[in-house]
Amino acid sequence: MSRHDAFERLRAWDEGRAIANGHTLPWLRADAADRLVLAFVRMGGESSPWGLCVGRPDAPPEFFTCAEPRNADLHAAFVLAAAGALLRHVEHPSLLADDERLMLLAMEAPLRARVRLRQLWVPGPSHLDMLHFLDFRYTHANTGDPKVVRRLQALGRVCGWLFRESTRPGQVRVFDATARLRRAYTFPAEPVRQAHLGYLLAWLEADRTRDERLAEARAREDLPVSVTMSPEYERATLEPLVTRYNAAKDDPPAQALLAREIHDALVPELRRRWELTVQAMAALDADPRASNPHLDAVVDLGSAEYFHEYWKNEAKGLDPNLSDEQRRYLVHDPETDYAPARAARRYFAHLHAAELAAGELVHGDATLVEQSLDAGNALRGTIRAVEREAVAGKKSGPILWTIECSADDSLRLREETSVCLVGARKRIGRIRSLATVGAVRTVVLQMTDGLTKRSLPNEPDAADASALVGATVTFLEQAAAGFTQMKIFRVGHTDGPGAWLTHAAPLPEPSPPVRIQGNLLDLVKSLQ
Amino acid sequence: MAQTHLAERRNQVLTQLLEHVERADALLVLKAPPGSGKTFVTTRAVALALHRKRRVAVAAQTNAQADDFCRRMAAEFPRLPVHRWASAQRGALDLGASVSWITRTADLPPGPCVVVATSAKWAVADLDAHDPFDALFIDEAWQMSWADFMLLGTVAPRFVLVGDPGQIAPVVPIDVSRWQTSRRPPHVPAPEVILRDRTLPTRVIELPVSTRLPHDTCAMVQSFYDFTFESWSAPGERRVLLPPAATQHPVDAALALLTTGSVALMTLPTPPGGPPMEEDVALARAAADVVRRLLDRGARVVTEEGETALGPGDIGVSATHRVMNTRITDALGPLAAKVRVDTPERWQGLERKVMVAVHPLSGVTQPSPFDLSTGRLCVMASRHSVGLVLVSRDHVGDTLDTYLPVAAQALGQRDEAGRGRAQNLSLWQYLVRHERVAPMTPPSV
Amino acid sequence: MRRDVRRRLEQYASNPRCEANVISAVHDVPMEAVARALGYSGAVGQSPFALLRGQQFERSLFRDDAVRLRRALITQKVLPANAAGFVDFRMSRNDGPYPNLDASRAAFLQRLAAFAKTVGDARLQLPTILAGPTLMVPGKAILPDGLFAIDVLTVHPQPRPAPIVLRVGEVKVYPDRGGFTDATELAATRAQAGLYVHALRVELQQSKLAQHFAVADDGFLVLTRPSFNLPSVRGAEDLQHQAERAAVMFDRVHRIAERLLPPDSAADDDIPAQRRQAVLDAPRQYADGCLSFCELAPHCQQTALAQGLPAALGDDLARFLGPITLHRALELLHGAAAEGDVEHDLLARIA
Repeated sequence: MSRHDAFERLRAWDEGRAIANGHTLPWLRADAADRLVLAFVRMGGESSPWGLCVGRPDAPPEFFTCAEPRNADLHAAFVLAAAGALLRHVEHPSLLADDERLMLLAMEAPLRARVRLRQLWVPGPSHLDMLHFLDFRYTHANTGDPKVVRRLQALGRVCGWLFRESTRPGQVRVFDATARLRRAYTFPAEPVRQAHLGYLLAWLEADRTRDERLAEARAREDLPVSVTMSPEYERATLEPLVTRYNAAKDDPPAQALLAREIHDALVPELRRRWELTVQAMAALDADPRASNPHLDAVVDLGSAEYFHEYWKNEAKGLDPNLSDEQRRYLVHDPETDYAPARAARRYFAHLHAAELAAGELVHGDATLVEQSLDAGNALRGTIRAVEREAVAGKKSGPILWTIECSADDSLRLREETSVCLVGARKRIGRIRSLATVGAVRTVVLQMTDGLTKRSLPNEPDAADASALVGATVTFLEQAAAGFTQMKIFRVGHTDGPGAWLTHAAPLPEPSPPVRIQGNLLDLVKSLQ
Repeated sequence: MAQTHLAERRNQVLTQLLEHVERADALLVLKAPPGSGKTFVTTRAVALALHRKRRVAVAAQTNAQADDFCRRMAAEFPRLPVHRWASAQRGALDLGASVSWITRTADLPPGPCVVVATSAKWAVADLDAHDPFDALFIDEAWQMSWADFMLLGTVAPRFVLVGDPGQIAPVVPIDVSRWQTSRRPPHVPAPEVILRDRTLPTRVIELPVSTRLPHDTCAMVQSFYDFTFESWSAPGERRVLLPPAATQHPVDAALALLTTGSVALMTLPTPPGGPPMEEDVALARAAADVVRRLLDRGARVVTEEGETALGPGDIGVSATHRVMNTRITDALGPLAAKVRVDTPERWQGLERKVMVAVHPLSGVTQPSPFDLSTGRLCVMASRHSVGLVLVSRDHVGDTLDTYLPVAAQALGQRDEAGRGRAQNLSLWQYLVRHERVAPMTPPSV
Repeated sequence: MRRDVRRRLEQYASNPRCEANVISAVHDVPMEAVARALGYSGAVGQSPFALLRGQQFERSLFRDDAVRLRRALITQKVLPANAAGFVDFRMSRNDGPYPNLDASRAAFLQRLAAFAKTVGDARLQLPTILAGPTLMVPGKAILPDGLFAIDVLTVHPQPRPAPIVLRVGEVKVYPDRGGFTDATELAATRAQAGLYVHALRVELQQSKLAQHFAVADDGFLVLTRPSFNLPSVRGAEDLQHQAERAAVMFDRVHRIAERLLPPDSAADDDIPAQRRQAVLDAPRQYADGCLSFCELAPHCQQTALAQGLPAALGDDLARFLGPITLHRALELLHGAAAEGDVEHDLLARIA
């Protein structure tokens, strides 16, 4: 637990309310038309959903349920009926006319602009898990009417992509309402309790005392919001209905009536979860804090991921002439990336996303700067000297800044790390040396970019000692986002001489046998 | 008398490595415990490869390590040319007469050569226009993730990965759940991935002798490794000599232990309400007292090379929390200018005759899996060539005994928390069993 | 008679640091009854559907001489491709041949003794899957008799004089999602499996069979394939340290098992008040995980909050504050002067 988190939780308890975390929110608000709210319930012990509720936050939602989720055909029929809402939300290419699809495939910008702010909201992490389960269940579906199978597979894939996307650092596409509330506020409760959306919302109630909020939170906690329903409700209400439904297999009208009753019993459970999500969304929208002003690059990366990791593959997959192998390559396995190159590529993509989000957003929120300092990813100190290094044979050497910091501050940055100035991020330096004597850590930076007033009109020239000495400055690690991004592409190169090892290419021909002659130790000695 | 009979074993292992190079075999992982001369053997293997007219690439994990490797090559093989390939942003360094500094890909030499660069540099190098390299040597390979290693597949068809598996593991800054069950998980250190895959033609060589660590320290840190190694020094050969003291000092009991063995654990009583968790001023003062007392008493050290006086530059101090290092530095006063005080991360690759280390679990009463990971303790317990004084609150043994971590790792992974607890406990119990514990009472406050 | 030792072992392993929890598990004083007497109603019950699925899944594994399980174990290389043979030690209520745990245990030990005597081909052709063998908790630490059945053992015979290797398997109905598999569930499962490894070793020791058998430090988990009723086997699960953990825990639990509690009643749902009180009087150690298994958790959390114990606001905060109470931490935040190294340290960390 970081000191910031500990301090804030104590403060929240002291004040008896949830307190704002940060000066900004790290996502953009979107219109209701761009938002889809989705909630699930499942039968105890089962992985797949029993029912789901889906819709825009400004309109009544639709409810889809299944009388007997353990029956594969019934389950497939139920999710098939619900698939449309999700596929429309992600602009699935099969829903577009051929010419529009081909145009969008050729020119990705219009589509990326269209979906830039599309958001899927779910109540909490167990609902995200349902997306993963649907991925497992339907991505490789293979029996039944081919048309139905194709649509079920498409549903499995979109669920898989949304689930994977939800794990990409900094993403602003899939919103777990519970996690977003916890990101936006610090709550005075143990982490395990903060998994309950209703519990969290009670702490956001205005004009209450701590005891009132606590009592309200505990009361709301009694009603489950995860995908699992109360065992008591299952035992008393649902189990008898399901038992009667299964017993009535030879009586379709009776089964239809019982299916209706099961549906009616599931609807309030689904509605409560869906409405809590909408309430959480509304609470976050009403928060007076603005969105972080440096979100553009993060949102753009999200659009690029959508296009290249999802939509493009889906569009290509519609080509009836694809071979099975080509088609397989377009599909991600639900569990993991088995192919080493794909695993490494996605790993680098997530690293890049984390670096980009951290590197961008920190410039828009003072709290994030403090957290970076706390985590040792930034340094703050006073400039003690600004000078030009003398280099033989050169008129002017590099500009060096000597900065004194407290040695107590944590610092993960090392020599040769590039850092940028908070407030003038184009001013970049590289850590030349770090030395600690007593309570003082002296950092020497070699300034490399943003040196002149021409590049930074509001800053003094980087060599202007009179303006700079004595100033307190904060430097943040300059994320080498471009470098990691380069790795994403390069790791796909499977044709290097070492690919047999790195990319599981065929083993090289063994070297011809060599007879070891003489004493190699003596030979090496003779080279010295 | 040094354990010269071990020279033969060491030479056998070096010969195995040289034979591997001579045969141009495909893949070798060299496990090197602390102070076992991994640079010594690597430079020799590189020299042999160059002598056999091969194109040799060497990848280090940092520029400093790459520079050091070049210096060693220049010092030990001054007739063999070495190219240090670095970023144009770095100013050229004089690394020795035989080392040339290049910054452009176009300057890579044709034909037989040795080129040393960082892994990052090799990873993004466009080598298509150049002759392929014959072999790539990777230093500190346990610091490199499999994903980063994959980028080096364009450099050479043969690999030698060298490193110390007991050192501090690199930080993985993102959630890696998706790849935990991958065949080759991209976030795992490259040698681990290679060693897990039984289908690869991997040869594994373990360096058998630590020239740095004293005899009994080798036995103590052995639990951090899955292979055995011995000390070059004979039992009791290296020791601290302390002239009789005119007055008694609370740290003297611990120092006395250094005259009969290489390790002492000096404990301070844990306050009834529990220990301070990070900033433990009394412990910091105790650590500084050890340093000062060693110097005040005119300590001398005996090694295979003979007897010498112990100076401040021969002593190092390490604590995991920066704030503790600051308090220790404060407590050292003017000595701080001569005694290096740093975190274990910064001590990696360095050594001193005598080390004073604050036990990483001192003050930790509910250890997390991170607290239990042994990399930092392993580094702290393996920087000395003569003596080590571990300084700690005395609760650590009880804490480890009482605290039983759960195994929440991903499917198929090792129970690192359980293993960390067992290794930490084993080290603590070793010290108790061998009567290497000296309580410091009362603390010198 | 409430005898579900296995469930109580799970309860015990979920928070062995809480003495009240340990007494409840060891002496069979259901926490639900203790909580109900205090006015708490929320039972941490189990879904009827989940119970049914668990039973059906387990039965499906062992049906037809465990053909489905064997296939999965061979695919995952837990068993060699030619592995054969199945011995069922389950009780009749779980589709097995034995009327009770005592009979199952006697048969299991008898069979192990027979295995130990085998030589040559007979030894190499020993049955490889043992379903539901019954063990006794070491030292009868779980009262009254400490008998419980484990899910499955695999047998890995080797030519004499090498011992026959036994490998513990644990069957769970939760889904295997690769790296996304629930870490809390996995931790609980491994704690259980480690406990079985230890109990089996003790059982072999006490039956004088230890020199003929070696219980592997690694085991296997049989989970479900997500959304399907098929097994997903994961081998090479590291249980070494969890077995050591169990050994340490049982050592501690003996003290509590030896404590005398007022006698129990014959009726399952009638817990004498003095037995309930014995649980309430014991030191309690609230932790985040309690909410998921213990009916008394809300009470403990409120008590902890009233006492200012940091665990009431989370294990992570408790770790951060150490011995300092919430009340005192807030005083310090409001400017009270720090007393002693521990408070100075906290202020330095939080400043």
